[in-house]
Amino acid sequence: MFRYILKRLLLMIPVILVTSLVIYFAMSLTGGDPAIYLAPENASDAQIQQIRVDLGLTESFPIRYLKYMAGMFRGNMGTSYVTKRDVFNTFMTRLPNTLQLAGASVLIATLIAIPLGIYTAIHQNTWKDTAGMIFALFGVSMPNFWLGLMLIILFSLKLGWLPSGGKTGLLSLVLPAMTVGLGLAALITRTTRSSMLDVIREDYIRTARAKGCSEKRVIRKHAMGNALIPIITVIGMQLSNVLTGSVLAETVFSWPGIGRLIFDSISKRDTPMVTGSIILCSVLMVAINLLVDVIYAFFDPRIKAQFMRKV
Amino acid sequence: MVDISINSISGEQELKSRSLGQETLRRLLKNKGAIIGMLFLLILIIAAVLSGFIYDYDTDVISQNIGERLQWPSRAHIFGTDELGRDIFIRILYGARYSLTIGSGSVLIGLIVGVIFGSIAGFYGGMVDQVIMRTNDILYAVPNIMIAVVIVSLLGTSTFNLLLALCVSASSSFVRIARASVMTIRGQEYIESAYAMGLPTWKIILKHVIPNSLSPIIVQVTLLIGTTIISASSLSFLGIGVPSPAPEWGAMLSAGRSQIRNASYICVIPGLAIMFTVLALNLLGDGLRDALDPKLKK
Amino acid sequence: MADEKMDYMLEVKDLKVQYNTDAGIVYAVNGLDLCITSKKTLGLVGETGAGKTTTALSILNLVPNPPGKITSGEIFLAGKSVLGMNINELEKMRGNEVAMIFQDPMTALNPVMTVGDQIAESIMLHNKVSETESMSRAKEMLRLVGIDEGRIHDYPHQFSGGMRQRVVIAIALACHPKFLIADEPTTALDVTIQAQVLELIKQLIAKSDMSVLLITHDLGVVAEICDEVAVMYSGRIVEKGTADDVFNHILHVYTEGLFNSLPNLRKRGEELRPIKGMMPNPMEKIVGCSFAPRCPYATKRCLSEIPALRKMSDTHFVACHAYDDKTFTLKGNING
Repeated sequence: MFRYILKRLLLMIPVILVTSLVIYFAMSLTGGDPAIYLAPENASDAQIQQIRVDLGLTESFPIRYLKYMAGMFRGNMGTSYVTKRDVFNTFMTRLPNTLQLAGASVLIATLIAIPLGIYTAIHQNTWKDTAGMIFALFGVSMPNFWLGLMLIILFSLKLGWLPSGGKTGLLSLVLPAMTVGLGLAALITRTTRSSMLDVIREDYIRTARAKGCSEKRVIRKHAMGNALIPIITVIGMQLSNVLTGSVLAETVFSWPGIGRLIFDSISKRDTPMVTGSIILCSVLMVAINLLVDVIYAFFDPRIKAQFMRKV
Repeated sequence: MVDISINSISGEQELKSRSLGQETLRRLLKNKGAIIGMLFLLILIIAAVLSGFIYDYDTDVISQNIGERLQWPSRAHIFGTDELGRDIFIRILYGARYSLTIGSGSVLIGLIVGVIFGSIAGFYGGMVDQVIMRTNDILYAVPNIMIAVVIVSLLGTSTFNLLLALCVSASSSFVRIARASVMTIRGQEYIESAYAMGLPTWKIILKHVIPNSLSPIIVQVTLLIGTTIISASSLSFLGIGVPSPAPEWGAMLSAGRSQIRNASYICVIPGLAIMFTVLALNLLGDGLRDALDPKLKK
Repeated sequence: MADEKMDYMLEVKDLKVQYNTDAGIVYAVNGLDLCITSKKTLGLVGETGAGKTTTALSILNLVPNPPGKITSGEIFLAGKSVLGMNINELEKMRGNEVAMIFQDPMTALNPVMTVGDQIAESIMLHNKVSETESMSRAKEMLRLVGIDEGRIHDYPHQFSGGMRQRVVIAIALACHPKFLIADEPTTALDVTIQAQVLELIKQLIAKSDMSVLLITHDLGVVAEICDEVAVMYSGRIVEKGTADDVFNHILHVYTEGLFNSLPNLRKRGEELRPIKGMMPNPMEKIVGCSFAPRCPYATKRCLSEIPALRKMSDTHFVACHAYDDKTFTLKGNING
């Protein structure tokens, strides 16, 4: 197992290198001249040129790139044009906020969706199933930023129960997390339901019943164990959507996360910040993918065996 | 083995055969949700097309009329007016044109591109397969909004760039589907018999591979158009999609945010438009999925 | 048909089962009568579509409830009415007094549970034993079916088809059931493996006191293992007797046709002789004898009246109106 993880970590490196190269290259084409941004007012051309030399901007592209990547490992990815603050630090300070939002969203989503999905599968073709499916269908069809606006109108403006923006404590996490979480819940409900329906038809469920297992046990032990596998896969695939969902939620609720950071930087053409955050973001996503795959292997012994053997 | 099943074989030929298309259509029409979806989409498309003829873009859609700003829905303005006095109903209808064209356009182009690459990967295997799939993995893994962000920051905000970004994302799911279908079918016996009969490769692809890959692709297209419409509106909401003053539904929501306290209807109505459109597409897509492979449902 | 003095493990009376599908009602079992004497093995023979698996599932009341429905009939297991049992009694009986083996070993086992756990589950469901105890019993069962004990913590995907079927058998026999239903247990296996698994089943039956219902479409298997044979056609039993009765003193035209259709290895150049015509469409309700359209001896009465099983000897029964005439015999002319 460890060898598998190590192998995956090693594989991460080329992916990150390629992604960062592409982004760095693209940004350098459009980025504007950092020296001009960083120079004090009234600086002479010679001074600006000196800044360029100091920053290493006069060197060739490959060297700049390598130095940049080396810098990443030391936590130095440049300075923001706008805030004049360190890119790496800014990203890292805001990362936990997004992780909290994402974590709370996934939590809400699974707590709602998995029981609901199982329930509708067991009661297939009754009104309970139809009701659950209609909820899920609406949830999947609405843009989550609009849901956020609706939640604000209802819970902040009309009822006044919850704050409408900013990070001001635990309560302020509720609406943003619901914005991302409910849409995710709708999707996971559908997946859970269809996964359960597939599993219930399998022959080994019939074997379990023929052994004398109660229906409860059949669902709990035999069906769930197998149904969870594709569900976890879907949740894993959705994690990057949770991130983008966070971007939208952060915008609607002025939540200080990295999604908002990337967007603000883009609109302000803050190249170092954009470059740095997108690269760090991709590192994050690759790491999360690895985590999900490892969890997945835990649940499905066939995959575990494959992993063990592959290395 | 002393098998008596020979008797069953002689008897199995009398099953009624209907063409695949007829069967699918029959099943689809039985699905109430799918019919509702289709009707809604039909009405929306007609409205979108007609609005181009009835309303003039400059005078009706984008011209400002400050005197009439922020009026709640009334008989004069069915959906009210926005912060610049423009009639929201007209803008919603016109906005349908953006959503529908961007949604279906990017998906269909993505489909063609994706199927080409996916089929090549699946059919030839080996190095070709690896290169295509690794690249595709990256595109598939990165959410389409992020891809759009990158493209827009490189090329600027415009409808065309939005389309481009969405095409790139859309193609990545089709590459996978096409490749999987090609690989499954490649291994099946009736393809081997086609080879054995001497059919040339391109004919095999046309007559055997494509018809069988069609089902998952049709479903995916329908559902993906819905997701793409949501993505397009999200990007416009964030300001990097269709540039203002175009009446794109997401952009309308973004503008309406500042008025959320006193004119909340501006934040509600365009979102409802998006939701019902995507809902209709999802109903249709689900219906198609059930109709094309009833085994999945039962 | 059941004799009051005999000790019957299974009695099925006039069983009717149908499936309500989107495309229409499928009449799978249409008035089936069956009985199996204690400690005997009955082979239920019939072509695909005759309703054999549905019959087997009905015995455990496991017919999937939508869309299947037992519309009438009675089923008695060791005297107790199965259809009258509530869910608790059914669950107690399944896997414990009655066990079932299914046809496809590749899908019959839960892929995410070890084989040891799956066997032990059976034991723990019906016996108050500790986990360790049930695991050691599970190991015994593995030994019994010829699998190395050390594999108890392996997963199903690590076994071949034949070995998986052995595991299925181990699970079925774990609680020493009095009655075993085996639904085509070797059909899905390779021919060489079939012989092995069949041999295993034969030994296990001999070692125990179980009554067995063996469903198959392979007459060779029947000849090897079964004491009694029942021939099923279109949801009903058309002939029943001891193996000797049915193999050597054939009474029903259909049975004759089945035996005739077997290729004769000694006369290899001969054409195959399947029975003319087809089994009726199970979605149509049948009036009269279901075989009549294909039967050279059919009369008007056959088309309107369903023949009941008629006693021709102590052990041999046949459902055919032709035997009203006491001198009637089959003339070997089933295909005209």
